[in-house]
Amino acid sequence: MLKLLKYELKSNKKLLILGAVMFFIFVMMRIALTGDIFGRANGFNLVISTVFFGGLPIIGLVIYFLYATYKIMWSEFSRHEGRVSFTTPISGFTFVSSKLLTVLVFAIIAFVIQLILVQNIMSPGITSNFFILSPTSFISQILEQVTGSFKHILIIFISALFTKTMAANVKLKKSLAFIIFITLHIVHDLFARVLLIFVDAVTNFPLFNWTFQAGPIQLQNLTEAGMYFGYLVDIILIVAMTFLSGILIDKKLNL
Amino acid sequence: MDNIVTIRQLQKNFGSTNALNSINLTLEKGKVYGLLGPNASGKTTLLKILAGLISNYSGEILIDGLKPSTKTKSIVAYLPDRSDLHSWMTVRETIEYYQDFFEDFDVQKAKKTMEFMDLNDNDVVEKLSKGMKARLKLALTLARDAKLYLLDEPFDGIDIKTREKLIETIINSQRDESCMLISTHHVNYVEYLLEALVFLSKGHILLKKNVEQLKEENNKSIVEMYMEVFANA
Repeated sequence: MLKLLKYELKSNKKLLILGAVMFFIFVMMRIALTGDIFGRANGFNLVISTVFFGGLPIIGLVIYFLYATYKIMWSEFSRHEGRVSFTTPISGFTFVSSKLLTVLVFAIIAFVIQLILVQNIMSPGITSNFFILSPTSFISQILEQVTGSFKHILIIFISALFTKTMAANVKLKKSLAFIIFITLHIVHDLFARVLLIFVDAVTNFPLFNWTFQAGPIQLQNLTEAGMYFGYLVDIILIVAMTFLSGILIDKKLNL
Repeated sequence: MDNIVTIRQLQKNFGSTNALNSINLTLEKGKVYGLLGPNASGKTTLLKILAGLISNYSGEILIDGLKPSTKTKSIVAYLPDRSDLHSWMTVRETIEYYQDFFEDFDVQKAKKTMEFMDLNDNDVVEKLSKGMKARLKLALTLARDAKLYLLDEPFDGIDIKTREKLIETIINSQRDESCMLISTHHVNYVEYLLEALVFLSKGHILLKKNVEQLKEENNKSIVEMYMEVFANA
């Protein structure tokens, strides 16, 4: 897997350099901007600073992340180039996992830049101190963003993968892929709702009498436990979808 | 002789099109087979199935006793009809890539073949001409110590000088314990390379015989046989 990861990162080095340049520019900008130089505390230039240092760069960042994800996940399927990967003795699961790990690198880059933009440049009254998240908050936010985006990436990937595997010879394969995409999303949403009801019921169910006995700290712990349980379920879903993609590649590939 | 490939009742459809129809075939170790047939006869589909690029088929295939899988990919060296290499890589990086993923890859052999084929380490794949890409693909494929070599149209778009070099490389690479299946419709180029022939038309095997036997029985060259068989196909 590490060997594949090495080649994935090498093949996307231009995008990595672009990410590094964006990071450098915004860090330099943040260092240069101390004090309320836009007069945002008084409402001056609020629109300009929000648009130019928040909205537009974040839109750019989203496009950057989406393009990188598409390129990483789909390059071997969209062109003949790189198909040598499928003739190597690598399992489908390893193939997809290495792609997801590469996307993770880009997700972290995008997240860190977004953090600099939102917390350090856009907010009014910039102080001389950098806003830096604690390691726990950083990991927790990364987990939230990554699990959230990876589930959707994999749902899209599996749906698209049908056009290169089981439905490769079907006439309306793209329409079929879209139906699979919608179905998977509905199933995912239903599952998420049931999970939410379950977590809510466990943390509030009178039989356990937890909320009665629990002070504010324990209640917070329960909420956190529910949150981490949610992440755990998401991770299990991601692994399951990665396995499914791997099986489709191993057993039903049709290039 | 031992069989390296056994195919029973292989069927592959692309929608309503029958690409391969109830194919039964065995390939022996130590032989160079020519898979001959006109366009759209199913040659590429058959090679892709053996290479593991198409897993969606019915029937049974055994490669060295194993069903096509990740394991068989480590003993099958496949040369596709189109360039499937990563275009951003240099020639040196493609060698490293093959070395990283194929245990049977012989770096020294690859370098020697590349030198013989006038390929430079620092050339980027994307910038190579069609002929140079064909040389590179063949050098990489034949530098493997594989049990089964699958070469799909290795001479397409190749000039005479390059073709001679490619044929020389193929001859030098053939070993007793390996089998080579060369798919082409340029029959005349490979005539003296082949030991056995498989004629494929519209997904059916029309004929499978040793070259010597064919020549004795019919007193004709492969090209003449090809013209005769496919005249009515």
